[in-house]
Amino acid sequence: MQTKIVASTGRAANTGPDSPAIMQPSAREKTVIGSIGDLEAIAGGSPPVPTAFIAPEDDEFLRAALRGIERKLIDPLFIGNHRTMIKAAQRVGIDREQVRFIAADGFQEAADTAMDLLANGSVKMVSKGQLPTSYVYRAMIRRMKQTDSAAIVSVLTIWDLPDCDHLVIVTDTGANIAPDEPQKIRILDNALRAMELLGIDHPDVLELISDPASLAVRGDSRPSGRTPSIRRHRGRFTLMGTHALKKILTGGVPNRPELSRLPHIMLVPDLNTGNVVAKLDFFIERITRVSFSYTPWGPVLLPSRADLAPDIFHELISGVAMVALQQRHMEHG
Amino acid sequence: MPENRQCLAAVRFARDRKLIDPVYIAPRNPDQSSTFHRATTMHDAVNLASELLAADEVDMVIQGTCNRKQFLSYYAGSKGLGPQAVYATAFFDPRRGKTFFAIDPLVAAVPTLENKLIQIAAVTPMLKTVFRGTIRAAALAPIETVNPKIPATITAAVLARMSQRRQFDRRLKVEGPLDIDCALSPVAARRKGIDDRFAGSYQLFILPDTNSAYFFATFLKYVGGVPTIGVLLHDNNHLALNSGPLTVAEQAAEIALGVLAHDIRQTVI
Repeated sequence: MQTKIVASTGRAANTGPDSPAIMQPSAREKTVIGSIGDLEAIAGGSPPVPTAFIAPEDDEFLRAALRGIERKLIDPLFIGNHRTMIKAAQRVGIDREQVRFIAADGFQEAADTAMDLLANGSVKMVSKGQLPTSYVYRAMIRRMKQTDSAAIVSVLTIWDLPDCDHLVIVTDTGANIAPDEPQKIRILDNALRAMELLGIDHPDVLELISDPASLAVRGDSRPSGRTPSIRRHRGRFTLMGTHALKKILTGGVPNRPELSRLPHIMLVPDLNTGNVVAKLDFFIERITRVSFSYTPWGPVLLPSRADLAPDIFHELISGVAMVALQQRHMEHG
Repeated sequence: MPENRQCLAAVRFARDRKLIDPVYIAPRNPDQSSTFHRATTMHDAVNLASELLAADEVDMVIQGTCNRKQFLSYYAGSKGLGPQAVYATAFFDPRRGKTFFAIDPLVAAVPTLENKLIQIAAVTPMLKTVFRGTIRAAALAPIETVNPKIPATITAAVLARMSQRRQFDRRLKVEGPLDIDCALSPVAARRKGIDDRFAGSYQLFILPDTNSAYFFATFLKYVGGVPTIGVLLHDNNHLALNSGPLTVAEQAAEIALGVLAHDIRQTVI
């Protein structure tokens, strides 16, 4: 994986949806994580992260876990059907001595147990196995509501593009079907926290809404309308014009899109769009994708059930790096 | 208003291959053509094009270099485009050497099942001309199981069932609901337990709504570098919309797609 660590610059404060994304000098330069290769470098220098795997019963997930164990990235705890997990682990060559097992009766119990262990600090990271994500969402929502009733679960999909000098977060790509304005603001908060760990204190944010031509022709109006629903958010970011994606990418030069112009965070309108956009790596192979949910206690990795071992391993690396970055962030304020 | 070099080059390319007999509507006559109408504003140009269409003096309107949003609002007027309008987008994936279509990134913001049936009926004749044999269509949704909280899954499931019950053209097979990873990859479909012999070879993607279709097309074009064109199928007439920025070849292909749609329509009539 190519390494693209670059020095960051600060940005002007959010002054409205049409504010130009002008680079301004930062008060203090800091290191920015520019690629998944950078995350891999950080993960490689970290102690093994205690990680709970929910229902790790599939060979692809277990091969990724085995690689994580061999590279001393993770200290695994498998939660699920005891017999199935042991059989599966043996099948891919995982030594029983290398793993702790917790038996759970069904997917929901496994997911709930994993989230409880994450919340009480017994593990620092959770990864879902070959089960529908809805079980994991339910467990996360249950646990998060116990500490913050307004908390929202959202999925951050990180794109690493070879022609882009920074990582791009697309969110929410999995949890909220049709988020309203307050929910979008919380989804953005989750992304801003993750982006801060990646070294970007003042990211460019674009709320994706389709070309207004579609709205004009029939006088249709959708809840998201033509103005960004996050316009009232006064956080540390630069809000870009809602319909600017094409212009941003081309910079006015037709047929020569520059991917480094992509905003740091792209907020999708709803689950229909988020799902399609997040998984375009199945089409555009130069995109490397990792997806996780960022909770107050640590990352919950959400690889697709369609992903193969190398993709899932990328997710593990990213999760381990996020744990390390969170630790650094807490130590250095 | 074909006022830039690329647009003019594409029109001349199509003219020289006898695909079209262009009637220019612009402030200046670009080719000293005998079929030229002077219009100094886009509003006048679009109104004149609509009048020519109504009088059967032209069969198709090609948007020139003007702004698409304004072009459409002038064209559609206060009534809007009406329920029969469908924007079909065509893509060519050079890596896989495949052409495929998607509906609808432009018109029906939140399409109902009825809208989707209209969209499918409108694009099927064009697909039957472009592709041989069975036309494989994926009705996309965020998940591959039916969830009452996610309307796209219900619509996709209904479309698939209608296809099974042969309610569409006999050459069209719709499968759904399909998550995009399952539609694009047979391995992904297998891993999710979807028994789908068409996975990885779909020729039509029926997206849940305008937003998802628009960003599907936009990211494929700008991030994936997939050549993308489109045509607005609207009642008896067709609009080749400049879905730019396009190369000359892409714009010529867009005109050709419009001509194809028009010829099919004439045959059907």
